[in-house]
Amino acid sequence: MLKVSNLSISYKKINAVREISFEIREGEIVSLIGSNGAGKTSTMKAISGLIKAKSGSILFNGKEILGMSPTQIVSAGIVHVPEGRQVFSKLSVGENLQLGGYLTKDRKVLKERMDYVFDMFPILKERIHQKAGSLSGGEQQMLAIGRGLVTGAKLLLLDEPSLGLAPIVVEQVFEVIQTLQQNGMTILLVEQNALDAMAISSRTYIMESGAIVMEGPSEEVAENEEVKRIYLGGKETWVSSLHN
Amino acid sequence: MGFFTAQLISAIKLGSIYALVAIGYSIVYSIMGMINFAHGELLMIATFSLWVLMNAGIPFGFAVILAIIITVLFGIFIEKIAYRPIRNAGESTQIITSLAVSIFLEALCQAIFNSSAKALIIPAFFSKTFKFLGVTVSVIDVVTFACTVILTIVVVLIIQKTSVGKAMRAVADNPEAADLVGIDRNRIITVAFIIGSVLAAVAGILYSGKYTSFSNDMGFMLGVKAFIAAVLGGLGSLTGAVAGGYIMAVLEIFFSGYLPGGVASFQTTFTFIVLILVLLVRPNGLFGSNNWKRS
Amino acid sequence: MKKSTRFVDNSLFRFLVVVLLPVIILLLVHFVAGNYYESVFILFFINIILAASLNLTNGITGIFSLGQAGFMALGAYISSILTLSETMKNAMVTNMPEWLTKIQLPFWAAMIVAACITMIIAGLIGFAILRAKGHYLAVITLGMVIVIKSVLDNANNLTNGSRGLSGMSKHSTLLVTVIVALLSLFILYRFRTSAFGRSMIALRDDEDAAASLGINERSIRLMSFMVSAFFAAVGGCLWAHLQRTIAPSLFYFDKTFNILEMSVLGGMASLSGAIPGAAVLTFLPQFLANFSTGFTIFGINVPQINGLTNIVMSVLFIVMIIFRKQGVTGSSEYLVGSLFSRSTYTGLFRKQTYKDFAHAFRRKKVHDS
Repeated sequence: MLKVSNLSISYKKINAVREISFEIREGEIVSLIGSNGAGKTSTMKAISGLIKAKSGSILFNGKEILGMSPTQIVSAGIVHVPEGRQVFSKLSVGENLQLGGYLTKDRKVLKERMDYVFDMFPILKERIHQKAGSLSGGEQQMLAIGRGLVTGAKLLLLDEPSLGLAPIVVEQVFEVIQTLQQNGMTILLVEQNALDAMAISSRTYIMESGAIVMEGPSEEVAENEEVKRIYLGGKETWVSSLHN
Repeated sequence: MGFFTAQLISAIKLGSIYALVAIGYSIVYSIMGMINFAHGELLMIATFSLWVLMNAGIPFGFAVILAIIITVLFGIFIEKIAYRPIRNAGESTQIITSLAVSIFLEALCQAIFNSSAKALIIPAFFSKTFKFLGVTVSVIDVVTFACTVILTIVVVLIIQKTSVGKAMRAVADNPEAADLVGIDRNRIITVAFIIGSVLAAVAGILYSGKYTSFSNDMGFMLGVKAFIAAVLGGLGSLTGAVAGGYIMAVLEIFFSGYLPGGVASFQTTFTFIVLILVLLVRPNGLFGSNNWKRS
Repeated sequence: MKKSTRFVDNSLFRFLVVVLLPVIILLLVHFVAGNYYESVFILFFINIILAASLNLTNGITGIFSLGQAGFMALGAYISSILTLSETMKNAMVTNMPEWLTKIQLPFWAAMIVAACITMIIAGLIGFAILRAKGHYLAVITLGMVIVIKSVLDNANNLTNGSRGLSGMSKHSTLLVTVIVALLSLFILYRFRTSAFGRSMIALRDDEDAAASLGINERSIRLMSFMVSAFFAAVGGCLWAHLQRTIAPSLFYFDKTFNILEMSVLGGMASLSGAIPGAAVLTFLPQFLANFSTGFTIFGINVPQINGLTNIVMSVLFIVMIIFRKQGVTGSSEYLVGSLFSRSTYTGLFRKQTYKDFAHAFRRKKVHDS
């Protein structure tokens, strides 16, 4: 569905991302993990058109999207749910969701998508008139994902959805991600929380200093000694058992 | 009592002009995070356009509409040519660029029309006067106030109710998130400039219509005052811009009307001192949120 | 000591370009060129002071002020009141407080008093407004210019209102102005290169990092604002005693932009930028004045253009922003640095300097042919 080849990104002559290639197939969750500053967020921003890449190619359903504006990329069917949630805090929950449908002209379709979001996150319906800034961190994350869903995207780019949330809320977020996949959504998940990310994804890419250093089915990656040592803190993983 | 009413009515007239200009500043600032120093020059463009069109024999009403359209085109053009390339440049570059645009437009206007004051002759109907609460009021004063009220309501409706308005608020709130839901920021900025230009054009025409005389430097001072009014009210807040405009005018008019003879001419000084004091107590303005330190 | 290999860093070269050449030009101007050109050069040196003072706040500390014309006005007015004789003041200004009419100071003392008073006023104003940043501060300082003009316009018994003051003696001779300009640049340069100056730059580049280094943001900003006002007032004092007549309207938006243009064109981030900036803004308008009544170019008659200077300057300004935002000098202190660094002069006593110079010169010739 998404095929990134030889993507390079640089800021002021520093190469943030160097010649990376990866692929996401329809209906799967792919996790992209790595330490801070490894280039994960830059990669996501390049896919969603927020920043310009230096070279490479990003094919979405066979169509080149590199160089397109964020607007065109959203209408193509990719939505990026940014790190730190980034809801429109002074606008109401309802308005936030409506803005997700900014490019959707068909009111009926919009209504269906809103209902889908409210089904998935009933709390948002309760708070529909509240200012988004007054929601809790977990609720804001739900709103950010919900807003992304209203765009009608086929591919969801989730940047650190668990960042700064309480453990119980993190669990909910990961459940939501799995539910979304079961409903047919394709997801690229960027996480520092490597363990949980690998537990729900089918394949994992590991990024370090702007390059992909390892890739493979999540259970295999999780079993790698190096990965265990660096990302999983040396703990015995239960990821592989989960995948069996 | 009569004097007070007269003063109040003068303040409302002047405040209406400030309010119209202040709204434009406020909208553009919230959406772009920059102050358009050339905003005041839009008043000049509107007035000169109207003057040229009327001299060419075009009927007043039609000329007004054309003048507004010309001003809007200038507004869009300025944003596209001058401001778009520096959108992500530093704050000082933005200030310098918009000042440069302002100086250039004024100089251009001077080169074409020279710097002498000109008279704008509007239809006699507008200068008809009548008594209101014992004070002589002219039709253009009423029109000025009415235009401000109507345009403010229209702008509020656009921003609160329409999809474009929601997108404008979204861009002001969180530009990057706005990109991510597919809002075309360039388009929203253009809309902000269109709204700002229409308001500035109307303000320019009303102002020159009222005072009948105008010149190429009419806009800058008005622009600076209206901007300070917008800051006083709280940049980014429409209520703030309108309230700031009227407060500014009330201060100016009442200081000049009520201060004792020797110091009355210091009205501008007093006005600014009061404004600075207000800002010291409420750095975000009277109705503002946290825009003071925005960079 | 770092051994430099660049030809432009050669002591002899620096001495010739930065010291000897200007001295020769000034001698020629003084003894050969005549009064008109001398006045233009005096103006040039005053403009250097004004532009350098603005660079200190806008480019070096990163507080974008548009208030320089206001401080210049204060310097001009205070110093003029102090140098004018009692008879002159009584003839011109009605009801000036008697103690003030009685004061008459020598030019130098008046300049320093005026600059100090202006600095104190700037301190008070700065204390109130420097919490503002960026666009806000720009507009508020512009508001300050409006307020200062309004005060000058209306404080009739001090300033003679909008009619202004006149009859000051022409103290600003070429020699006086050059000395003051050099002193100003020297003090500003020392200020910039001091630990304090480095804190200003740190503050401009990264506020948070500067704060974490224990740099007190507010006091640095205030200090920079005050020093800048001091030199703006010095410039205003010289200007008043060159023009010999001043009025509030001369220190308004036009002056503000004029100084800003010098600063930006020359290069805001360095004191050296003041020199090319002032040169362009002083000499170009004089040159353009020749064309203001219309001219013929390639056989085409160009009619009179109103405000030709304004148009040319604003276009130049915009072109500069587009193609060289950092101005002529950028952040390089080559000009002022060479002028005041000891090595420019001590190097002249070393043989190696002349060898290097001759060598580089010869090599250049080889390249040329």
